Amino acid sequence: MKLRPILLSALCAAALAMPVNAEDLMIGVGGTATSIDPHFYNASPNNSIAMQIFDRLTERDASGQLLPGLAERWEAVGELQWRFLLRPDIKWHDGEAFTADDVVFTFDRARDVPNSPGGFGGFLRAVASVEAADDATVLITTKAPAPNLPGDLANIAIVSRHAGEGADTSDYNSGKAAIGTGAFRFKEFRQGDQITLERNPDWWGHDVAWDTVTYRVISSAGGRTTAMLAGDVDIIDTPAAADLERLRSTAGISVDSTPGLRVIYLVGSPLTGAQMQFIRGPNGEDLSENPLADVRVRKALSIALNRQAIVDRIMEGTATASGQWLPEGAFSYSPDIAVPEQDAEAAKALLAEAGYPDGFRLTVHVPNDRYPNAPAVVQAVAQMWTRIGVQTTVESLPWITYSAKMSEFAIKLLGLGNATFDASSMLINVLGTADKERGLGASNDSGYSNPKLDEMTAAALSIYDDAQREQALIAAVKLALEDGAILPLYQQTNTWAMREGLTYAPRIDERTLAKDIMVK
Amino acid sequence: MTLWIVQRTLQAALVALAMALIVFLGLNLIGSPIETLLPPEATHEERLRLIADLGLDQPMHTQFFLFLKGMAQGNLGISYVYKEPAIELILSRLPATLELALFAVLLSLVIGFPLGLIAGYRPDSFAAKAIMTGSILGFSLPIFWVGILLIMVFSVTLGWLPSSGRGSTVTILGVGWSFLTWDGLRHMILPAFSLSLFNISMVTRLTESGVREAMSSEYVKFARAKGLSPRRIMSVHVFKNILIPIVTVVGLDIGTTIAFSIVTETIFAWPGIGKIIIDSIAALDRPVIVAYLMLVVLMFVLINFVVDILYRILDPRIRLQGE
Repeated sequence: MKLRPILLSALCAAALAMPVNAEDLMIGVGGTATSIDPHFYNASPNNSIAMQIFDRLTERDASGQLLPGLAERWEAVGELQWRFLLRPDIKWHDGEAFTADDVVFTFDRARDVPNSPGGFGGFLRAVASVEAADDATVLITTKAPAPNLPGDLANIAIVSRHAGEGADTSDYNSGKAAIGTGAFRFKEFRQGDQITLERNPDWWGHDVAWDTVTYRVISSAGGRTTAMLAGDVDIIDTPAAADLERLRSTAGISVDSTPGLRVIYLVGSPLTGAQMQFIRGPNGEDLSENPLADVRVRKALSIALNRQAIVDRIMEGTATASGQWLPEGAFSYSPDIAVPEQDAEAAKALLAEAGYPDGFRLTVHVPNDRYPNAPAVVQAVAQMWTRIGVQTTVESLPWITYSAKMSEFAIKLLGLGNATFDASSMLINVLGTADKERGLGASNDSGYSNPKLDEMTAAALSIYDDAQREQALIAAVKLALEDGAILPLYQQTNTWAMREGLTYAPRIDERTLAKDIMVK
Repeated sequence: MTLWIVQRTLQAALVALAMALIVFLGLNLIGSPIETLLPPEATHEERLRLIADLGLDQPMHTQFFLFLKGMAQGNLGISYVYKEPAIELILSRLPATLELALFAVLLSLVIGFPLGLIAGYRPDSFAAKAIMTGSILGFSLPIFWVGILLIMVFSVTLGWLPSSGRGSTVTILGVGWSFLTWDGLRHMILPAFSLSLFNISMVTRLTESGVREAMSSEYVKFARAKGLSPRRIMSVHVFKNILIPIVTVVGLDIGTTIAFSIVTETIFAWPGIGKIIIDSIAALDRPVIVAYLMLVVLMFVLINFVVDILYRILDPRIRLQGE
């Protein structure tokens, strides 16, 4: 696996790459973008397309660093306000001028697209009001101190008022309202088949190498590999682990990868409701208490695992073993948190200390169609747990059934994309005590609750100084991990295969952006 | 005849209704589309709004009643995932599947029928034995394996044909068709062939047994005795008599090929309804699943209808039920 100083190489590639005349690029992607409407659904395939047609106030580079986008600069004004100064002379694809009023329109729209699964409201949770101070200045007032706002806004595509007013999702899909400021213009959208974009010669960003770009949906990993081998496409995303060797050894094809933001973790439930059908005594008898409510048990389950072996043998090197939920180099990653060492003896001792010298019976649940190799990973986990006396059975279910019953499971495997690029999305959505009023724990279905952690999270997220906020977040992460709130296993690796002569700085957020694919 | 058509239509309506009910109850048992639809970053408000927007906060019987009401007005609901009318979504994908399936059935007739005639006419020849042994392979090789093999040989190694996708299309009547362009045809050859392999074998074997049976019948012997040429015996007398079982099977085949081309479409990334139905089942996109199944019922009813009429043309002695 090649790991690079990603930012540097991206900049070098951008500087060295020469625009080539009349070049077409064919991209084979696994995920289906369900719409061209950039506020319809917050998922990687949709965002990959939206990031080409539209721009955001702030952008993220391949390694997740925040860069200026449509906003040239931004600054906090007191505790409750942000001022964004917009780039001058930006034109929409139809020639109209981009102004602060378009940003105001966008913020209203992104929160409320009828009938949409959405998912962008969370990034605007802190926003109380938006106003255009003048054509080039946006003032955002927040409900509470929101130092993370510029980062959150890297997820909100800016759409135009003149094309978007009164338009619904189907107007974006037909191209009528798909008027952006981005590197490419909308050309054609064939639902679930392919999307064609053409270069925007007036884009404000770096030189783009392609005149026409086609994203073709090839959902089966084998199909992507054969299309790449046959030369039908120039670049593919997420090749299957089993195909990597073949792709690497084929002349004319190169493979590049980076540890991604998506973490795969196990989370147990401390509750004693439906969970107890999946936790029994060593001889199958009822238990009056949930062993997983005891931090010593959670810790024992963690150190019973050999994460490196799981990554090497089952994930075949397409993941990085981890003891926390962010990859190295990300904001609020801590080098002090090591990958827990496997220690079966210490694990047994901890179980005995917690009052389970003979262990117990446990059923662990895993979705079988969502994360690569997850059922095999959980099989290995079950063997390692059985070795310390926790007799574990594995139940794997399709995601539709799994997700509906998730809150009843005793312990389960899940993944999180970390859309905030720091520790906060896990701390707020998954580990926060479920509380509608405070906007906490929207995805917390395990019932975990730690008031001290909630407090630390809230405090950390109101610090404006980046270095201090990072330290405060790391402190919260450490508390959560010491408490065994989740057992992180590994970060998935994001991989691309491309024909020789192309370079693409592998992105930690899984997105395939044609504008950043360069010719050597 | 009129009575027969009325009976058929009523039957079809009943089947469609029963199926809608089963799908409704079944999907409700499997799980909730909300968890699959919502991104993990979604807020509580977004969750509640989506549930209300999709009408999933209503009790089951109200949802079913609303669905029936919509159907009476020709509206099968809006896809949860794509937010487009389910019926439009299905119909926009149908041409791709239709042309692939029809091309495959055509291939199976063009290849299977002559092979069956040869094998049946001289059953003891080497050619006949080779054809009959080969047809067993066609039955037993799994489609996905054949598909991958074809891609590896013709796309990756030889580089003659594209590995996947549909190629360029020509728009006629607002619908894109790929069989009208050279590029589109090239894209169609591999998926159509792997889809037709099973049918080729089936047609070959049916023709072969039909011909063998006919060759030993009285009327063929009589024709021979009369001194008719073998060509005329085959093309007029034998041909007509062996057609009935073949029409039945091919008729049913068109239906199953369209309805179950899912595997082939996945391997070749062919943008047909097979692909969208798999995606919709994975997302519990109920309106699309129901619309698709309605279409399949309708299709089978239509095909059976055509087959029955063909029977009558081929053999005037056959009378239709209720006639």
